[in-house]
Amino acid sequence: MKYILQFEKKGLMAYISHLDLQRVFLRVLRMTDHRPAYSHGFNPHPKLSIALPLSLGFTSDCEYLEVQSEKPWLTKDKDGDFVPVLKILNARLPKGIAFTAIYEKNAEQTKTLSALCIAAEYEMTVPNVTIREADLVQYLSREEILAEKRIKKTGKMELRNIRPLVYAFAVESLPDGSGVFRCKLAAGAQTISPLILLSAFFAESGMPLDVSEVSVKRTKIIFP
Amino acid sequence: MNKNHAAGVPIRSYLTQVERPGRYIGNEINAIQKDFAEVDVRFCLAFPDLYEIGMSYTGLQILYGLLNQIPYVFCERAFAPAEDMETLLRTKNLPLFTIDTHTDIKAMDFLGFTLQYEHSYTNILNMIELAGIPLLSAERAKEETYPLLIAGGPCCYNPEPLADVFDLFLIGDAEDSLPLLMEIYRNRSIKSGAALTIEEREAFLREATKLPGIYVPSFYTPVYEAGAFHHFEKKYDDLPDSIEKAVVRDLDAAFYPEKPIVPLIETVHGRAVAEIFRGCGRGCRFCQAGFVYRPVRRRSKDRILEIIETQLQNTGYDEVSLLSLSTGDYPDIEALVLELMERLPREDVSLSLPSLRLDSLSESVLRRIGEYKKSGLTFAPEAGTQRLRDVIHKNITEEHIFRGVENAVAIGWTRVKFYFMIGMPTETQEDIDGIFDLAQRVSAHIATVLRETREKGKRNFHLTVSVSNFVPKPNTPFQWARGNTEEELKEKNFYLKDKFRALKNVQFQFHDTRSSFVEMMLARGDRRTLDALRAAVRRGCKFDSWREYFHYDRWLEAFEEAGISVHTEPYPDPSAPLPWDIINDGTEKDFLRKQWAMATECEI
Ligand code: SF4
Repeated sequence: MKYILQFEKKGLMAYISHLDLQRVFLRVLRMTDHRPAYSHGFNPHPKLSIALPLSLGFTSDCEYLEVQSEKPWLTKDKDGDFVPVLKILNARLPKGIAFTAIYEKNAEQTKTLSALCIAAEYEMTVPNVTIREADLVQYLSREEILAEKRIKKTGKMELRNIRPLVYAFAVESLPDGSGVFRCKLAAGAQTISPLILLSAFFAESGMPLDVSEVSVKRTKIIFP
Repeated sequence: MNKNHAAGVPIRSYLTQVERPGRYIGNEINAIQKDFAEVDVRFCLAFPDLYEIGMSYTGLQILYGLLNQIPYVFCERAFAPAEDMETLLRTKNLPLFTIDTHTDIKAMDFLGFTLQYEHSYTNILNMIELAGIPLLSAERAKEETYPLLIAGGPCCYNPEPLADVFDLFLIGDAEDSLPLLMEIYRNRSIKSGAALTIEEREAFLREATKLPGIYVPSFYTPVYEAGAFHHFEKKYDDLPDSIEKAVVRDLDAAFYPEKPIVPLIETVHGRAVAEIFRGCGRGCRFCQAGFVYRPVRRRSKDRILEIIETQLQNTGYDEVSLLSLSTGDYPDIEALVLELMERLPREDVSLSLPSLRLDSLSESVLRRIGEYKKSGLTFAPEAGTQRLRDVIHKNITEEHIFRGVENAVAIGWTRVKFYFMIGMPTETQEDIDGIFDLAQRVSAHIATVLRETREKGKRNFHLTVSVSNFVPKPNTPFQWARGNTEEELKEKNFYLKDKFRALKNVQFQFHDTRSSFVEMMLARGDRRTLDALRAAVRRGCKFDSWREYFHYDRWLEAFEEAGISVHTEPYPDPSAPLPWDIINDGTEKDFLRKQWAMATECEI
């Protein structure tokens, strides 16, 4: 039995890492008597994973936890919903993390969610900026956008063309003077942090950017 | 009544700039939030080490739960910030904060430290400084705005090195006295309607001295004669001449956390823990815990099982541990272990039984324990010869050790660790060699046994020998012992290290002798020791228990600056007064003197 639990990660929980959060989920499931299945072998580990890591400090509207269990541990209410289970789990979770939906995974789908996901959408709020949409459009019309990117294999920062990884990039100015940048980026096998794109754009426009003042939220993970 | 409700420290935007920001956010499972406006007393429980270390201390969870159980108290936590966070606080000019609500510690009514080990003293001084609070109680007494500083924990059995820092010490068990102290404070602060004035503070402290275990050091002025402590002059006649430690008689009735905080980041231990008894009846003469936690008080088996089960339900942990000074001495240990195993399926939960004596259990129970995932097994012979074991009053014979290890191996344990100590009173070369001999004979014996049984998969046996340096501790018969010098300790350790090279199957570990020596200097200090601590902090000493942060040269300079000789024994004369005599831990000083005489008479 495989389940997919959709959750949001907000507030202070943004500072809890991928691995730490997986451990929190494991404990909360155990508190409610739900048990994930364990892998076999010398050092068995629970079959529970979060689809896509989220950088420390980012919040998210929709993340996915994938859990496999030996026996079905979710009972539906009379309307066929898993809602009561979510309520019980949410009552135990730390503030900032809440399950928003739960699905049974199609048994034929053998790939994990993390192998399936192809893109993600982000929202970045920058205080006190004035950006014209047209500048962004022009920026995006280039064939090449060079940015420093950490290379997975070597762990080193290298200059790469990130343009193929950017699917969309837009901005909206809010009345309080801040700008909300929305982007859709490749995720999964090929990944790029939205802050790399934003920094590259600001550098190109000759504007200063203090990334510690930017709040980043993932709004969507896209599967084919 | 706190003075400043809106004392938030804007730390959030910097959290991505530090390592493991989860250390500083609170918000854990089972952590408690209260409305500031609805409480009368705000308490910050401070642990002078990193979050990961502090959150693994059961004592901290007890105090946190105990205080928050009181409706009008809101207890939060603070930990020593790691270096990156400290730098950030200093450069941004931000004060130390509580992790639960990011409140400025100055806005608290109480700042309470737990004194677990002497090596945390520099961190305490550093945290007080980071909080922007004057270090000395005398300086703080001039203004009304600072929290009251209180300390508890094992190091309080000699509170003198920090006596000028803290307004109060709570000596002994906190479960009864701390809530009473909160009540006295609350009544006074409600009556006052605002922060206590200087006079009201003094009156509060006087009233507090009526409670068991409360020591207000500023009421006692030490008088020195010929450079040594002689006696205290009391500020008020009705003050007690000595402070009797607070003792909880009935552990079943005492508060114990059933909903402990479950940290969000990885800590040293994440497991359900039940304290099964407090105190130890064995009376090893070097052991401070053995003396100061007397008498032995046990928790009932049913209560222990109840605690474990509720904790597991409330935490989702998959590991259980029993806490005490010596698990095997629990009177009903066999029944307890059996029932635990009955209730906790081993596919689901791992069980660790630290400091378990194998001869206290029958063969069949041992076999069942063996089915659980085995953590290492430890023995503490402490000394290498029977003569020295008699001197230190360690009731363990070679026969015990051999039989114990044999049993362990028979049921499948493959890793065993022996603890020894060097530098103890009357120690000779023979005792030091005895450590090696014992290890050698045990490992040879086990090798033979394994060869004879020829059981597959059980051929590997691994022995670790861990040697620590003896530090004379207050309130033990060995408080008058001469501590070894750093050079002596180093020589002995390296001598053994060389010898053990020949034993391939045995791993030899030893402790930093310089760090032990500083511990020695602090453990038997008096009020003048604070000057050395301050000088050390000024030189950047902190996290002294972390090897990479420990700076011996700075410590030596600090002692020199404070005019404290590292070459003389602090208080060698059993008939002379000791600065920590003011603390009455329930053991008569005459008894300690007799024990000391008996130990040194065993000498051949
Ligand atoms: S060393 Fe262990 S057995 Fe001996 S008194 Fe201390 S706690 Fe008890």
